[in-house]
Order: sequence, then C-alpha cells, then structure tokens
Amino acid sequence: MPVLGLVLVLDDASDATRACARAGLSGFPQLELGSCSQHRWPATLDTATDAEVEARVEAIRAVPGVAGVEVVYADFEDLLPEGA
Amino acid sequence: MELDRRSFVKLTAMAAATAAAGSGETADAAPDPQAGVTWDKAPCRFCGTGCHVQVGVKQGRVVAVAGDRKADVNRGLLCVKGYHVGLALYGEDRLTTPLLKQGGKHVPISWDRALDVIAERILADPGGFAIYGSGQWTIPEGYAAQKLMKAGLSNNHIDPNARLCMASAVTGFLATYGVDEPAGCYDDLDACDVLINWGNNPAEMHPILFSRVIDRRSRGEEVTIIDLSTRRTRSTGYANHYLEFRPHTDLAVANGILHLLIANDTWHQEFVEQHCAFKADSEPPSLHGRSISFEEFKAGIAEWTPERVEEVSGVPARDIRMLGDLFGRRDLRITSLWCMGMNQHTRGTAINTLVHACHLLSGHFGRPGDAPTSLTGQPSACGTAREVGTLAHLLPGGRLVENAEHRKQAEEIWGLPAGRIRDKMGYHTVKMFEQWSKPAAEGGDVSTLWVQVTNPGQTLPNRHKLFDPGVADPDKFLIVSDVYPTATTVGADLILPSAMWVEKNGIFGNSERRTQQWFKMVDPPGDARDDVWQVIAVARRLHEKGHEGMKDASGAFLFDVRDASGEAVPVWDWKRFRDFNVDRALFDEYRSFSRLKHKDLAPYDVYVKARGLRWPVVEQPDGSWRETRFRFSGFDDPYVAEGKEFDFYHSPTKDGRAQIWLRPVDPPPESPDAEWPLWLCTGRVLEHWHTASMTMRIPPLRRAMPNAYVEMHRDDARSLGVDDGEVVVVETRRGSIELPVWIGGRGDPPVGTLFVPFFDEDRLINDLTLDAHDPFSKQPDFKKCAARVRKRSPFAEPLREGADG
Amino acid sequence: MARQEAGGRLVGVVAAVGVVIAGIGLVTGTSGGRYEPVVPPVVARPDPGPVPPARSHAELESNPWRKRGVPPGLVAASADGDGELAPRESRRAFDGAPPTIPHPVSTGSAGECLACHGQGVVLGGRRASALPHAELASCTQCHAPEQAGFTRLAANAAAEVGNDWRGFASEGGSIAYDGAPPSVPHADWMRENCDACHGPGGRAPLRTSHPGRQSCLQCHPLAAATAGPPGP
Repeated sequence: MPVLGLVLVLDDASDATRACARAGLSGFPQLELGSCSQHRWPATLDTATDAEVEARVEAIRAVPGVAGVEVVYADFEDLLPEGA
Repeated sequence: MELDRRSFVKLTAMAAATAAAGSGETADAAPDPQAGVTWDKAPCRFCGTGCHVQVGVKQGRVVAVAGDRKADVNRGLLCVKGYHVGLALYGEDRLTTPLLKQGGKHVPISWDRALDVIAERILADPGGFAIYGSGQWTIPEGYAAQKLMKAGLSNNHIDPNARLCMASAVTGFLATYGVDEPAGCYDDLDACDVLINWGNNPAEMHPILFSRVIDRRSRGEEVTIIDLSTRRTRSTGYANHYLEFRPHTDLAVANGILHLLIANDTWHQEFVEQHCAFKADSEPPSLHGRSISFEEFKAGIAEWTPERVEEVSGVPARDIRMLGDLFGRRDLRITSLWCMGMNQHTRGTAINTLVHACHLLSGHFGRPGDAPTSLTGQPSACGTAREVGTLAHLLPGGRLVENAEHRKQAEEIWGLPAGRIRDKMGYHTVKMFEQWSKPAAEGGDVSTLWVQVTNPGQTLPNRHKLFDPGVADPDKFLIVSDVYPTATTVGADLILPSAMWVEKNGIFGNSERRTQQWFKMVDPPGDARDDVWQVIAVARRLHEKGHEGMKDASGAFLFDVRDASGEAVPVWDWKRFRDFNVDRALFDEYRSFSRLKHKDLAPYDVYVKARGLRWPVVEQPDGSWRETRFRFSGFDDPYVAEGKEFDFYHSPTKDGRAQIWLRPVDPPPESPDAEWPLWLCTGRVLEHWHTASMTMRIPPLRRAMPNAYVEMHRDDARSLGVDDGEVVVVETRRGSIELPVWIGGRGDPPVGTLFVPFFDEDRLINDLTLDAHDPFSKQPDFKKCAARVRKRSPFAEPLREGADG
Repeated sequence: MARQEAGGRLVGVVAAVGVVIAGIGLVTGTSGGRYEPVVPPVVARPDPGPVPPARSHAELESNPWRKRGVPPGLVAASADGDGELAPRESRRAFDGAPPTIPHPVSTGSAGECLACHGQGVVLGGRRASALPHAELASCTQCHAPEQAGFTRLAANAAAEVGNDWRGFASEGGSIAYDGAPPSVPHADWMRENCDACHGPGGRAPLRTSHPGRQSCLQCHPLAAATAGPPGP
C-alpha cells in the first residue's frame, strides 16, 4: 500500500477557503491532514494499490478550494497483493 | 508497544510533507533572469540641493536611476533632471581626446603632448597663469588645483564660477557671523510654520526642497508660504501671499521689517542683548564696517516706515505690516530661503546681511524651523569653492591669503618652506577675465587660462567685454577641461576631455553643509580622464621640467601619494592612477585644514558609509561620528560652550555676537530710462541645469524646453504690437538677440519687466547683461539692467515707455 | 490599494499575462544606437473580453495557457507581441523613470493634474492613467512635458546631437514554475497602486485577468535584484 506525503496547495490562505477545502476533503478517509500553514497543507494519503494513487490524487485536486497537489514523498514497499 | 511499520511510514510521510509545506514561497527560488543590475549611491550631478540617487549599472553602463530612500535630503524623490541624470553621460558628442587648435581647427593630440604644451606655457609666464574653476569641481579636484596654484606656483589667480553665484552669500555670512555657510539645515523645512522666498523660485530650482515643504500640506500641516519676488513664477502658485517688489528694492522691504520690529517693540530683546551687536557701513567701505549702538541703529531704521517702503518698493504697506507682524510673533517658526535674486545683486552683501538681521533682531534663529538659509545652485559650491577656498583671496578651511598667520598654518600643513604662499590675493573672476580679454600690450597680464568644469563663454555677464571666443589673441592660450563642446571650448586652444560624475570617484558638499561621497561606477569614454589626474599630471610635468615649487620643504613632490606600506604610487601615470584612491589621500590631507573654523570633516571612509554628513562632524567617545544640524545652537552644536543657548563663536567682534546691520538703499547702477524702458532679468528653468551643456543632450529635457524665450506682460506686448510666439529683438546697451515672446507662460513678469533664461547656447543672453558687481563680494548682477524690445522689422519703432496699445 | 483578503479561487492566469509581457520584449533602445524614443502608430485591437477564471487545478491543467500560449480572449497584435506598450515605453527613459507628459499642460497646481489622473479616466479614445504613487503636490517637478509650451525655434546645434542611452527595461516578471504568479519586476516604491497600470483601466498586455483581487503582493513576489535598489 503506497503511502504518499502530499502538500495540498489551496486557492488562498483565508479561513473560508480552508474550511471549504476541509469539508471537501472529509470525503477521503485515507487522507490524513496535518497542520495548515498559510495556503500549503501537508497531508498523507494511504492507498491500497498503485492504480488507485493517480485516481485519488486527481479526485483531491478536484475538491473546491484546492488549487493543486504536490507529491513530496512516496513509499511503495508495502504493496498488498490485489484483492487484500 | 512498538510502532508498526505502516504508522512509521506515515509519520515519515507527514514529516516530509510538513517540511515541504513550510519551505515557503517557491516563487522566489527561481533564478532572476534580469540579475546583473548593480546599484550604488551617489549624489546627483546637478543642483546644490544634493539629492542622493541610486545608480543602476549593467554591463558597464548606467541604465537606471532611482531616488535613494535612505537619503535624508530627498527621501526617495528626485526631480526631472535627477531622474534623467544618467543620460548626461551618453550624448554622442562627448569629448574623448585632447584637441589642440592648429590652423583654426581642433586637431587630436596625445595626453603626453598636451601636458607638455601646458607645462611649457606655465613655465614661460608662471605669474600670468590663472585657473578658473567651479562649484562643480569635486572636493579633491578643487583641492588639487588649489594646491598646485597656491602651494606650488605661488600664484593666487584661482577663482571659481561660484563667484558669479554665491559670493554675496559668503560675504553676507562673514559680515554677520564671521564664518561662512548656513547655521541651519534642511530640517528647518520640516519644522517651519512660515516659509519666505526672497526673490527665488524653488519650485523650479530646488524642487525637492520645495516639495518637502508643500507635501507637508498634504499631510494636513499648515505652512504659510510668502513669495517675495519681482515676477510671478511656478513657486507663486503655491504661495499664500505674493508680494511684488521693484527690482533692487528688496533692501527696502527688509529694512521695513526691521523698522516694524523696533516700532512695534516686538524685537526679541533678550536674544539681541545677549547674542547680537549692531553694525553700519564704514567710510571707506569695508566688509566688516563699523560697530554702532542700538540707539544709532534705531535712529537709522526710523525712516523705513511701511509707507516709505511702499513708495520705494511698490509692496503695499499692509503687506509690509503683515511681514512685520509675522516676524514679531514668538509662536511661529520662520524660515527664509534665497538664492540668486539676493546674491546676483550689486548690493548682494547688504541684502544678505539684512535678511540675517530680520531673523536675528526678531529672535527667529537657531531653533528647528527658524532659519535664514541661503541655497546654493551648484552641487559643490559649498564643499569645494567655499570650504576648500578655491578663491583668489582664500586658503583652505576659511583662511585668508593676506593673513600672515593663516599662510603660516597652511605652509605647515602642506610642509612648505616659509614664504612659499604669495601674500597678495589674486584676481577675482570679473577681474581675471578683464585681464584675460585685454591684450598684453594694454596690461592684460593673464596669458594662459585653464578653465575646468564650467562654461564662462556662456555665463559671464557682458560677455563680449569679458570673454569673447570670437576674438583670437595669439599671445593668449586657453585650456578648457570639459565633457562636451560648449560656448567656451569653441575658443579654446587646448581642449581636455574629462570624466564626469560616476565615471570617477568624487565628493561634493551641498547647501546644508553635507559632504557626500561616491565611487566610480563606469568608465569614461575614449581617452577622457579625471580632472584631478589632469592637475596632478601637469604638476608632475612641471616637476620633471625642474620647477622648484612642485616640491615641498623636504624635497618631496607636492602630490606624493604612498600606499599602506609606504611605497610611492606614481598616480600621474594614467595607467597607475586607479591603483590608488587619490580622492581618499587628498581628502584626508585636506581634513586637517577644516578645524580652524570648526568645519570639522570626518575621515574619508566615514563618508563612504553615509549618505553624507553635515559638518562639523565630531568624533564621539564610542568612536562614532556625529554630524551637526544646527550650528551655534547649544542643543546641537558641540562647539557651543556648555550651558549657553547660542554662541556665535566666530563673531567678527570676537565677543560671541552676531551682527545686525544697518544698510542704506542705494539705487542700482543701471535702471530703465526713456531709451531703455524695461527691466531685464535673467535666470534658470527647471529642465535645464545652468548652461545646459549636459541637459540639452538629454532628449526628454530638451524636448520639454528646447530654446530660450522672453517673458513679457501682455500690456507691454500690446504696446509693442507683438503676439505671443512672435520673435522679437531684445536689446541693451551691450548687445542684442532675437527671442520668441512667451506671454502667460510659467513665469509672469509685471509691466515693464522682461525675463529671459540663460540656458540657451544659441541665444546668449549674457551678451546683454551688465558686469557691475557688489563692492565686497565682487559678484555681478545678472538680474537687473535696462533693456528695450523691438519688432524685427527694421521700420518698427522701439517700445517706448507709456506707449498705449 | 485595499488589502482585504479575497475569498476566492486561485487562478493561474497570471502566468499567461507574464508570458505575453515576456514575449513583447519591452525594451528601450536595446537595439543600440541613438536614444530617440519613437511614438509608434496606434494599433487598433479588439478589446479583450473578461477572462474566465479557472475553477480548479484540473481546469488549469487543461487550459491552453499552460502551454505558454496566448491567453483566451487576448489577441497578440504581432509576432513580437506589440505596439500596445510602445507609447508607454516612449515616455520613459528607463523603467522607473517618471513618464513625460504627452499633452499640453498649464503650469497650475496639482489639482489640475489630479482631475484626470487622480482616479484615471478614459476620454475620447485617450486614457489618462491613474497615479501609481501617492499624491504629491508638485507634479511638474518630475514630469516634463513632451512639447514646450511656447514657440519652438529652428533647432539648436545641440538639438542635432543624439544620445545613445540604453535604459533599463523590464522584461516581465519571472515565473517559478508552471502556473506560478509572476514576480513583480520593479520596485513598489512610487508604484504602490498596482491598479494604475494593471487594473481594468490599464493597457491590455499589462491588464490583469483577475482585477477583483486586491492584495497583489500576496501572490506576486517582488523580485529583489530588479526591483530597484535596496529599500530602508
């Protein structure tokens, strides 16, 4: 299961945007949010398979309030066999 | 319980993400594609305000200029000339090689040959050699020329163009305080409640200082501006009161103020009794006159009632009363500013002393905002001409050539054998040019003249008499060091191309006693070389040809410079000139002269770090250097004795007192009459600096102000039958030129007055002006003479007084 | 300039604006030779409509600007981008110089100048730009008219002399990465009011695609080396 370290770049540093993004991101249980500094928000993403990684990241990007996602860390060692 | 691997990985991932999130704005991390512009400080090349600029240099060229926000003088702002000062270096006709006149044409020669030519001329007639220098000389340049002449050649014929500009301010200061230069500084402009312009136009001539005052109004402060003038100018638009006086009668207006202070009993009795004394003209007249009592002063001033002042000057009596009331108030701070209106005046010394008197008698002195402040026109008339003493009667640091003790001090500092300095003063400017223009057979004993950094061919009054480049006298030899061809180089026998502004190291001293330094930033074009090198190289050539004066008492060359290890550096060899900071060597030598009159200068390296410092600059116990903003005031001047509120420690009466002068109102030497019915006044404009040899080559400035014009009142135009824009002939007894008329332009003279700016090389108004000068300062009066105007048709009548339209 | 926080979306349109500027190459005299700025003929172009903001990063990805092409709605007038900025250029000896005044002026007070330039106005096909700096009292101290207000005589000898000054010219802001807001390639001293040149009243290549945002320096960093000399 790849674990990714991400930096979510928000539209801007306002509280409103952060709240909006948080609401949207709550729909991702595999996403753990760190503490947001200004408009850059560290997070980790747990995914089951490789294939899932891309789709998840795109989905996070599409959340209102999120302007972009930077992948800054990836660990691929614990890959579960398909179907686990 | 051990962390399982997954959790550990997640922690690592979060740590990485947090680090990445906090690593900040990535936008700055990109390399800047426009790097390569380096910035360094310099004072502006132009006026005596002394703004600091930041000069942007890229690939060996100046590419931009910005106002220096760290500078106290201008705080990030500049005027239109200052913003374009970088372009002054790049006119296409920069002089780049020495040129010798042969067969009527200027032919390029080598520097080596040029130095030989100069040395030979000097050796042939050392007493007939003269240097005409400049308030645009840097301090080291003026100091080197001064040393060459007075310490080397035992010749005192060195005088600067500042004689035409500031000499009356100098004598005014000397006659009042015993020492030159303003006691206050630009800080007064931030604190004054009332600003009086005495015959000057700071909105155009010292724009940064003027906007420093008027911008206070935008911040809600109330500043009353009084424009006391002979014509309306751009400054008038900002004034609360415009008081128009007849030319030359500023003397009466000042007397009127003094009269009212006494008559209303609002003079500051305590200040005057403790710190002032009274003077009047002596017979025969002398700079320091004779001391008189307060009673005699009171009796002498009695005739100048407001009605009498109105009769003489044309300023309404109620306005004189208004001025008298203002000066009589204790709750206001009053600053007076003046420049050429009061200095280019045949009674310049007198009017200067009278304005000082208004401030002293009323006690409006010595506190921030209370100041009589003379403004300088050139960037270093104060720093170089006045302080280094490059005048025919001065030695450095305020010493006099004709004072034996002062000569002895100078000889000691310079290490000269006793008696090296000649004990008779040399020729002042007007006299120097008279002696230059007269043939030798008629007693014209100046045979070789070296003009540096100035343009007398355009600026001397009554030009045809004093300096006519069209008249070629084969016995005379003119050397001109300049950067562009000018009205002076036209008649030169030898032209020397010079480096300008940031093409060389330099130090200037501005109007508020602020000495400011800069470093060379770009190379001069072609074979143009620093003026200071030129002087040292000539001295060396004389030395090589055996002139004894080029050695000091120990036999060393006068301009012997040594590096840190004591090795001599041959800076007269151009290839070696930049091996050593000659400015620092000369300045640190010059410093020793500055203590006598308490004009203490700090070491060169202190000025490198500062945006200028106002002298006296005094070393503090902790090793720092403290400048002095308010001279003679106990709260700021370290030379005022402890406990005293004021101390005029160079008082001419040697008792710590400043002098309040009683002066008559003499008529001017030439006034309008039936044949010449108009006053002619000359002056400057915002866009051009003086003779425009630099600014005419800056396209935005040239386009904004392409040629000279004559301002006249519409009633005079109507009488003459001329329209706005028509070209007319303006004449005086001395000459005549054609100019377009400008009515209702930026200046508005009253009926009977004309104004013509002097920047235009093709319309030399100084062919018409008068060379009469003040008896003490020898400064000529460019502001008043009698003229007439006629239409260009030869059949038209000249303008007569009283003609109706 | 108002400094309220704008709630809204980050829109990466500025990348394209920066690109257009870079493409234009606004340079005074880097072609060398005499410094004699020339006012070019007026280039007529359709006024670009409002640029729609991208709503998400995904849209930004698919947006043609990302390819550093021309932003939608804006049309480049020519291959090197322009005529649009040349009149502005011709009035400045270098980037940062106070522009000359292209119309006749009386010598009156600042109030007369501020009547049009206080807020900026478009009148009869001409644009009076708003002041980019705080109001000062003596306009003609720094801004010289392009034409003297009186009769010009036959050119002086000195008028024939050229000047080969090559003034510093801004090449537009640098961009840290695709989609990043370009840096500000000039000092903010005397240019505190960004709207004067970049607002809705500004010339097309400089005009921002997101005029509603008030806090420009929040995203657009000042590029220190080119931004002018070090400040206080």
